[in-house]
Amino acid sequence: MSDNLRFLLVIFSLILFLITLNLISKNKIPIRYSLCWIFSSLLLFLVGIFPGFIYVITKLIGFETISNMVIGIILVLLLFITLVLTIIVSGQQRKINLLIQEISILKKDVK
Amino acid sequence: MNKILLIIPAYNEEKNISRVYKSIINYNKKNHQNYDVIVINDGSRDNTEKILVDNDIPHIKLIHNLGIGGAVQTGYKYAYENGYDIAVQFDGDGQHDINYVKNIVNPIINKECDMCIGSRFISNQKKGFQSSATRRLGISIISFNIKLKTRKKIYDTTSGFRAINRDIIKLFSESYPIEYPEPISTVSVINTGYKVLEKHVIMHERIGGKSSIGSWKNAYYMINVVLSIILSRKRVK
Repeated sequence: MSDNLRFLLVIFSLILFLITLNLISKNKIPIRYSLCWIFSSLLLFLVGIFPGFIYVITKLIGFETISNMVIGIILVLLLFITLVLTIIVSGQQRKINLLIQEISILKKDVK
Repeated sequence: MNKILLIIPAYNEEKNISRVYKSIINYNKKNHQNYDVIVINDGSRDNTEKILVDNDIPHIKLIHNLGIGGAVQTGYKYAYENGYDIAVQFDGDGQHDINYVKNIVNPIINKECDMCIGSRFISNQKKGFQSSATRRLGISIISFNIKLKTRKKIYDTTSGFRAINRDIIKLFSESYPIEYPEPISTVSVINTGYKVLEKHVIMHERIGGKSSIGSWKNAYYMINVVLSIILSRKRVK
């Protein structure tokens, strides 16, 4: 992996980390939902700092270059996060349905 | 004496709803029946709400559109909270005939089953509205899947004309599919170990308004229903 790519990875993961911390401190997102972003940024940071162990895994899995491996990691992370978000959205949908139903029944009784 | 509630989900049914309601009131008078009615106005954007208010029809106005499953479930919650013994889903578009309600309610009163489906397809005499050929094909595919999953043959899988007892009112008020609820909820009733029966009814072609199953949605409908039947799990009462 070229030094330029490593440098970029470290910088981007730091920015991602700081943005996440900032969002938490401003109460924009709860810790619960920020954990996946914190772990993602840490992982990318480690890949940038210690490319040695990623080199071993790259050869093991069969990627041609480390940069492909890095893109692969990011892709899997994003898929996972999207899946978690779908679960969260579905849970919220259920809660909203419940609220609409209960409020509507209450409104009938009040009238 | 059983307390019986007819749940009528209504989305943009300004043309039909008052006629359907009057047919129930007339039936009650003629036959000394006492079917209660609750219309669930599922966020209609036409004059349904005004008609409901002007004609003094008992109804719940959902504060936001939920879709057919969410609307009917609201009715089941209302039925459960108000101590009804039997709840009947009854369409607001004139497809269902009030004269056949007793056919699906009596088996429940006589404890023959926990849920009774009004079916267009179980009699030899195929009278009344039988749906289009493609729709019937879809229904039989769903029927096949239900048979695979539960070993029970349900013929009119998409019939929305159904009566349930208090146990299932409780089950449905706790959990009910939001989209395309009929086949999936039938499977969950059988999976939970309740008894389901089909009784012959005659249905009419809808008089006004549009069916909740649009043509372009058919593929999505089939995928949705078949997947949820295949993935359904056995549950305990």
